[in-house]
Amino acid sequence: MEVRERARRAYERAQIRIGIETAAPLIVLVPLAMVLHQGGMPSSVAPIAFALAAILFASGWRGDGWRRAAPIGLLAGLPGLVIPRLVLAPLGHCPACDPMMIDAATCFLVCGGAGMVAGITIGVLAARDASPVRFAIGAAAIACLTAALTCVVAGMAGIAGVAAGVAVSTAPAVMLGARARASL
Amino acid sequence: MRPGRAEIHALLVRAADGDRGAFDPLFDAVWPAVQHLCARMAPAGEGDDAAQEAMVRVFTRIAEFDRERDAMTWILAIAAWQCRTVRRTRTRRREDHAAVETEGAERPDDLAERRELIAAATETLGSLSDDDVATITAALTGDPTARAGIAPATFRKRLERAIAKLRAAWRSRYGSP
Repeated sequence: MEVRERARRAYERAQIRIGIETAAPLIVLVPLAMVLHQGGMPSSVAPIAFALAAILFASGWRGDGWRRAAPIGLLAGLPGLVIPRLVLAPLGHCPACDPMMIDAATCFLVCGGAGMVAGITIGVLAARDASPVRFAIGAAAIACLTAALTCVVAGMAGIAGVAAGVAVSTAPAVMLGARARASL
Repeated sequence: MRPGRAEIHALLVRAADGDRGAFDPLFDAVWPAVQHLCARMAPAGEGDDAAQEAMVRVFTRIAEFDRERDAMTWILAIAAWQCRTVRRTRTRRREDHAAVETEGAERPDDLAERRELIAAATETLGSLSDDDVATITAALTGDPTARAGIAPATFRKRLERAIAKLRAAWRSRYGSP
């Protein structure tokens, strides 16, 4: 085999390894989500965990802004992962894990608020990155899915809250950042 | 025109970030230097293999590249290490080969043959007179007490006679030595 081809294969194997390493934090996050669900594992958490694993792997493997976005997205999604549980647990629905008992408005506000925090963080960092759009899209998607690991208990309202919070706060920051870069 | 160190550094950073477009220019930029280094450092005839293995290692370890370091230095350090590894492997292989050859002399067949030879020599020596045996033994061991009171010239003559008798006895038993 030609040396260039061997080197290219070695390079691609290294990128795959980086992809796996990028998805590794799920080893901690999924059990954490289970603990936040008080030991229960709602059926909707598994598909989200798989989707998050896939997107983290793809981000790490693809590189560039996508790769840089992965750890930021995970960190930005952590408030969304933890806060709903802390805020809504006193209301009593988390232990029961019964969507019929959820106050959707409260859930939307709490998850939306956590999403806003995540979105602002991502927006500020994306504006400084060499690939702001890739960074923002990747980090926002990862933050949404990370937060959804617990918020999904509340149904689509929770996910929509996280997504809306990230999107609304990320877009202006990215646009401002891009405009600032263009004016330089 | 060959790219400079700064360009190679930028290409390596891009490739480490996952930019596939940087792979070919980076490869073309560093391959001649790695080949040249390995041709000088690796054992004769193994320079090309060492260079190829070094390139594979560079791209395997690309995620470990520290951007604060000079890219070309990092790449050539990996190539130099690979050349040293090849040299060490070759030295070890040579030592193992020599050890096998040494062990080979001590194989049971060889040992038995040697024992037979010693037994034949001892038997032939036993057919000589006591004086002849004492003279040959004194010459072989270099024991000065065995030569006590004998002039060196006399001892030399006795030894020549004893060896001649030993040769004749060997020839009569086993043919030409």
